[in-house]
Amino acid sequence: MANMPGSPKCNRGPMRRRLRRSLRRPIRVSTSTVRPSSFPGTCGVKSSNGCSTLAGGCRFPALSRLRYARYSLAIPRRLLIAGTRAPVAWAHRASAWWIARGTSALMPRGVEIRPEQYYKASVERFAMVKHLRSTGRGDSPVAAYLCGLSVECALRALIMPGTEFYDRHDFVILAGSGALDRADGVARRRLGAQLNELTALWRNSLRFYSDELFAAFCRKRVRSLGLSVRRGSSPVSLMCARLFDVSDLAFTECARLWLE
Amino acid sequence: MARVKIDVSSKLDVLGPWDEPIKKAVRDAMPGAKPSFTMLPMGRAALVVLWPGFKGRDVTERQEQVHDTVAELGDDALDRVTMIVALTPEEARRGDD
Repeated sequence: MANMPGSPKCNRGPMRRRLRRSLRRPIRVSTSTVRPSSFPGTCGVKSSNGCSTLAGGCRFPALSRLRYARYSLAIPRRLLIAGTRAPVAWAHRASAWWIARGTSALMPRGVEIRPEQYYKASVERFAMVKHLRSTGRGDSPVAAYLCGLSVECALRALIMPGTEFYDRHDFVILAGSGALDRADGVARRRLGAQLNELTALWRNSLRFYSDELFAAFCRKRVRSLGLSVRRGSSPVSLMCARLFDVSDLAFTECARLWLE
Repeated sequence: MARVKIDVSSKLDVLGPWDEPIKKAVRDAMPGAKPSFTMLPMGRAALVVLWPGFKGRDVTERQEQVHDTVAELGDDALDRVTMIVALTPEEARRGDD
């Protein structure tokens, strides 16, 4: 009876087609809706000549937002409004859609991350790393990622106020926009060396690494830095210990600069 | 894309006449090295040296080697370099961020 012509179930075909078509259709994002001011933040990098192409960065900050929009697809508004449980992929697309529109669910309009918040975040992230290490889970990609993240947050806390938001994760650029100016000669050199090591050891993409990939990455880095693996140890534990030590030093240095 | 952009080394005011001499000194001391300057905010410069010879060496050792090379040119040259980054080409290579 339900499958008879005219019944509601029979109309699902066209509806599905419409839905499929709408999902295939890319979002049109105009540059006016995607602008840096849509993503407020107090800290960032502004070079002296206004060029923001350093570290492979995007010349126009707005374009980096467009990356989110590039792969996003239109979500039927009805689904969002009705609060229908969309699949996870749709949720990502929805997030991308809102980011492209400048009304990100991740960073709503009007919310700004102040230096104090960055500092608090760095303390919390580092406490999390310590907790992971104390519970025997310090040799994981997440722990390694958090090591670098805590330093990144600390460096962002030290960025001179009023500078444009820097959305990449280059320790050199981040340090050069505040932390290095606050440090004196010896401390600057020390921090520079620590960040050099972090640059060699840490990747922002560590959070995506599987244990297998992380192990391969660690083997390469241990070889590259000439570290010797002791019997009973592994490149992963050696690399994680090293990363923890260097991020501890850099974090402490940044905390000292913050408290001064 | 490299974490620190090394392909293009722009001429920096802060370096004054030391741009080329510093690079040349590094190239002479470390054959095959690719020195470049990365512009930092506030008009500062970081010296980025990519050299396969750094492989197997500790970061402190690398830093000292580059530092000593620049120091040979004098304090004036050294003062113009805010930060030294010494990496192997493999360490500088990246496909994310």
